Amino acid sequence: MNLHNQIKQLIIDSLDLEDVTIDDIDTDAALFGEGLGLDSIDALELGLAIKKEFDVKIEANSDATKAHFFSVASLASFIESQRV
Amino acid sequence: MTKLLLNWLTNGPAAQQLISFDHHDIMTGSLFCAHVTHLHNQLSQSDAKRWLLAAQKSDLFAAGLCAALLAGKQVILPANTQRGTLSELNHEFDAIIADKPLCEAGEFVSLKKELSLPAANWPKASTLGELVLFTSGSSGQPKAITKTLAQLDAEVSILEHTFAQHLPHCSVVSTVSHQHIYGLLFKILWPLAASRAFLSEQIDYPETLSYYLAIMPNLCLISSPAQLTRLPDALDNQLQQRTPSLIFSSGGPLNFESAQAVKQCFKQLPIEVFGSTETGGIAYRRQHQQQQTWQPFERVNVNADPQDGALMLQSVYLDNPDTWVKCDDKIELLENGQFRLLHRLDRIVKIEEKRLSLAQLEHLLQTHPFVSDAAVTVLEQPRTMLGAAVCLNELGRQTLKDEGKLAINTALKNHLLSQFERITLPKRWRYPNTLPLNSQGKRTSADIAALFIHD
Repeated sequence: MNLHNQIKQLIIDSLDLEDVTIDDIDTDAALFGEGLGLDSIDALELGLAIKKEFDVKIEANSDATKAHFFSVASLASFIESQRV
Repeated sequence: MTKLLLNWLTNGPAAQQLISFDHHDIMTGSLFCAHVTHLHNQLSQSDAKRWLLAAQKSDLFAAGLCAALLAGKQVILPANTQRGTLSELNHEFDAIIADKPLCEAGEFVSLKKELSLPAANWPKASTLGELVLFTSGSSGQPKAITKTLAQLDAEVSILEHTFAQHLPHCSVVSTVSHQHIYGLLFKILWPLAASRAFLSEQIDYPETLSYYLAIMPNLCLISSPAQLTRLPDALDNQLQQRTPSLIFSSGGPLNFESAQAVKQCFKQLPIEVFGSTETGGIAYRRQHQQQQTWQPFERVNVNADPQDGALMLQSVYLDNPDTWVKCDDKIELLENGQFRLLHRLDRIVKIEEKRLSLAQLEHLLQTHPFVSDAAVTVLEQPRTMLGAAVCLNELGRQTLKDEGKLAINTALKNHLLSQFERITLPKRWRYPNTLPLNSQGKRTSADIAALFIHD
C-alpha cells in the first residue's frame, strides 16, 4: 500500500470512521472542517496515531502542526521529511 | 474573602501586572489599560446597550470584556459563533465587539492589538455592566443566563480563597475556550483579579502544553476531560520532568482511569469542579478512589429533593443567595454534606463538554428536506458520542439509493452545522424505515440505542 493509502487507512481505523472508505478520502482535500469533516478531538487522536505509526515528532508550534495535518498529501510530505 | 474581582475591575491593573503572554509577545498592565480605555471610549459613545463579544485571543477578549463592563454595557456571550446560532440570537444583541465582523448587525467595534495607543488611565465606571451567557435549554430553545459582577466576584473570591495556597507565582494556561463560563472564570477573570498572567492562545496539542511547561516554572493548567483523557497517551504515560502546579478539570465528568493516568504523568490528580452556567461552581473533588464524593464550595449548600433525588442548591453565586434552586442532576447525599453525582434528569447532554439539547438537535434534523422523523441518543462506545436514527422521506430514500450513505451523513451534518459545533455532531447514522416504539407507544433511548449495536 502506498503512503497516501496507508495514511487514509490509519485515519479510518484510528478515528473509527463508519461509512468511509479509502476512496472517499480525497488526498488533497482538507481533513478538518469542510472536506472530510473531522473535528478538534479527531485532530488530537489522529496526531497520536500518526506519531505512533510513523514515529514522527510533532512541533510545539501549533500553526506548523495545523499545516502538516491539513490533508493526506501534506501529512505524507511531513512524514517523508522526517525519514532518514 | 474580599471583593477581589470588583476591586480589581474598579482600580485596573498595576502597570507592572503582566496580563498575558504567548510564544512571542506579552501584554503588560499599561498596554492592557491603553486598550481598555481605547475600547471604552468607543463603547461609551454608542447608544447600543447589548454587545455580543467574541475573540480568538484571550488578551483581546479580556480587554473587550473589561471595556464593556466598565461602560455599563450588557455583554452577550453566545454558546458558539456558528452562523445559525447568531441569527437565532439576533434579537438579543444590538452590536458586536469582536476580532472579526461575525454577521450583519448594527455597530461593530473591532478588537485588535495596537502598539501605538497612547498611555491612559483606567476608565472610571458609574455603573458596571453585566454578562449574559447563552446555553442550551432542555426545550431546545437557547436559554439566557445573566451574571452580575457581584455573582462573578463571589465566585472568583471563593476560588482564590480555596485554591490560592497551591498557586504561588503561577501563570495560567488553558485547553478550554474563554467564551464559556468555565474558561471565562478560570482563565480570564480569576487570573486578572489575582495578578496571574494567562496564555493568550488556547492550547490544542499536547506538544504545545509540554513547550510551556518546559519554559515556565509554575503553571496552572485549566483543562477538561476531552483533553485530559487523551493527554496521558500522548505523553506515553510517562512521568514528566516538568509538571503543572495545579490541574483543573471541568465541563463534564472525568473518568477514574483518566484521573489516575494524569497522575501517572503529572504526579497529581486533577481538581475537578462540578457546576453549570446557571449555578456557577457547586463542588470539587480529587478522585483518590472510585465513586469519590464531591465537596461543596464554602457558602454553597446542597440538599437532595426528597421526591426525585434532584440536587437542591442554595448558593452565594446565585441571583438570590437565600432561595433553594432545584437542578437537573440526581444526587446521593451523604451525612458529611458531601454527595455523589448520579445522572441527569432531563435531555441536556454533554459531548466533549459541549452542552447541547437533544430536543433541539432532533428538531433541526426534522427540518431537513430528506427527513421525516429523527431521534438522537448518546452512545458510550467507542467514546461518548451521538448516534442519529433518521427516517428518510421519499426524496431522502432516493438520494440514499443514488449517492450512498456517506453522502446522506454529510448532507445532514452540514445542515446541523448551522446551529451545532462540529465536535458535537452525531458520528453514527442509521436510516431505519420506522423508529422503534415500546409497548406503551413511547420512544425510549434504549430502543434507539439498540439500533447502533453491531451484529
